[in-house]
Amino acid sequence: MHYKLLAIGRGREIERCLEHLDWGPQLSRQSDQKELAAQYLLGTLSEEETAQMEERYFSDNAEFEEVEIAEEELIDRYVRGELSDADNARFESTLALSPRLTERVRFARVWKDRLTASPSPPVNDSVIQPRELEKIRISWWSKLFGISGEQRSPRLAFALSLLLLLLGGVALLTGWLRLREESRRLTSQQAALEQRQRELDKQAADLRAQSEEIANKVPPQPSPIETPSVAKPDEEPKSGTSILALSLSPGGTRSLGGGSTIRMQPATTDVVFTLEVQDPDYSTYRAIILTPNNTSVFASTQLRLKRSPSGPTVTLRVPAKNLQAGDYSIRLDGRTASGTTETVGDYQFRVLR
Amino acid sequence: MSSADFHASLSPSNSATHEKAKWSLSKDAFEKLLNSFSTDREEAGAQYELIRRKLVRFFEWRALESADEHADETINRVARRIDEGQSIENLKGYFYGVARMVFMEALRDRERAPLSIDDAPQSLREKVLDEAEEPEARVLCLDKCLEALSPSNRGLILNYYQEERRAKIDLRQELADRLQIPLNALRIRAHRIRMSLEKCITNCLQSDAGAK
Repeated sequence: MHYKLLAIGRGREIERCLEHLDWGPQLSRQSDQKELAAQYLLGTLSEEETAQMEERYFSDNAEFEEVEIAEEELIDRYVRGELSDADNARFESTLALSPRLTERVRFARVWKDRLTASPSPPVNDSVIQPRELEKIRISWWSKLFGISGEQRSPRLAFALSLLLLLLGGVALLTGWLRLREESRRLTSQQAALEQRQRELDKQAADLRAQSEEIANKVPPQPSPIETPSVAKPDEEPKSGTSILALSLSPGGTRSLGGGSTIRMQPATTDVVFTLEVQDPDYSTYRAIILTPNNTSVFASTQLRLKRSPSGPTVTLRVPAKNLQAGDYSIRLDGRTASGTTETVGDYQFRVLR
Repeated sequence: MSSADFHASLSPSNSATHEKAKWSLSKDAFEKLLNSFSTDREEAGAQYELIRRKLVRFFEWRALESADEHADETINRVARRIDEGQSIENLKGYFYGVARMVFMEALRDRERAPLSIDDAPQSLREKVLDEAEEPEARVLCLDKCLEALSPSNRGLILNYYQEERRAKIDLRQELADRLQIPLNALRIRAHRIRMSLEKCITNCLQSDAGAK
């Protein structure tokens, strides 16, 4: 018996050695062992076979583990209802006496339900334990780009994604640097413009000051043609209106500024002519304003002679609207006491608008 | 130790009851037992645990109740022989021999006092209660313990026990091919993961029961 056990023990070792060389034929032997272990657990082996089995697993830890696995598989078959009635009864008789086996059966039931309820995860590298991964020493580059191995496509996709990400990052960085440079340039330009603006403001202020200084030194000069509103005690000037004044001599002209031209402004309402009179012997005077083709545009009678230090004058006030741009003449007639009229002078002037 | 000595030490006159009364495992005797396994303390402890597990399984698989007690009785008897200075060459074989004797004694005891229905062992009553057991706690513990496994181990065990019959065989072969290991190595690996899972669930249920 001892020789037989020894032979069985050595045979087991040989089987293990062969396991890594050619484990295809091993499957049938393995299946026999599994069956033998299952029969041992069910108590259907002869006493001699039982003792052999027990001696083996007491002396050989691997053999013991095989029986434990057989126990596990027997439990699973029991839970799945795959045992024959006789085996079922045998197993239950053992089960009834072992709290540990009862506990294992409870687990197996829950485990079976769990596996039925949830599908298994796909078979992939995740089932490889870290130790296995350590054995397969692949460079990180190969791992990343999957030059070899079965998971090429996902790795390649990952690598391409990573590459795109890197390129995108570089592009973003470049763009950001360019924007930062542009921003700096614009900031410096803005600072220069602000400086220039400050200088111009200063220059403008200086010029304004100079201008005011000059204005203060030089007395105000009246306009050669236009005078500010001439206010008379009996004629209140309208707000925003102006009256032009012009002195004329017979035959020639002499404006207040030394000219005979009137520049009408939009605000001008009236023009006051001061006509120098050389013959002051008439009781009243009549003035008629004529165009070059002798068309009368305005006439005023009952004009009275005024005597001033500079000589006798007749004043004629003409609405500005009567005088369009062009040349005019004023014919001044004197009326005698007998009622006859005589021309005492002609006065020339021009209107500009 | 000769075969005659072996059988003499396990003779009927040295029944379990008789030995229990006269001898108990002292600390010193236990130290000697460990040393007989290995001079390396850790290795000795691991071997002690393993032999105890084998003994418990032996009595369970031989359909004997109170397997733990019989296993401890076996250990005590071996420890006593070592404590008394007996030299044992094949310690594992010696354990098996003593275990067989303890088994035979237990069988004789059982024949002398057959079980009545009222004396049904605790485990049998538990089995009856099993039908009414609320499995929710166990399911919750299973989920927790599965989560606690490493992704690789979780993937392996879920795949290994999946499918039925032919599909199962094909799937396991595929798994083994992928891991580049023989099918039997895969079987052992799945078994070890399952054992750790079951142990985790037992602890989880005990801690839940403790919390209540």
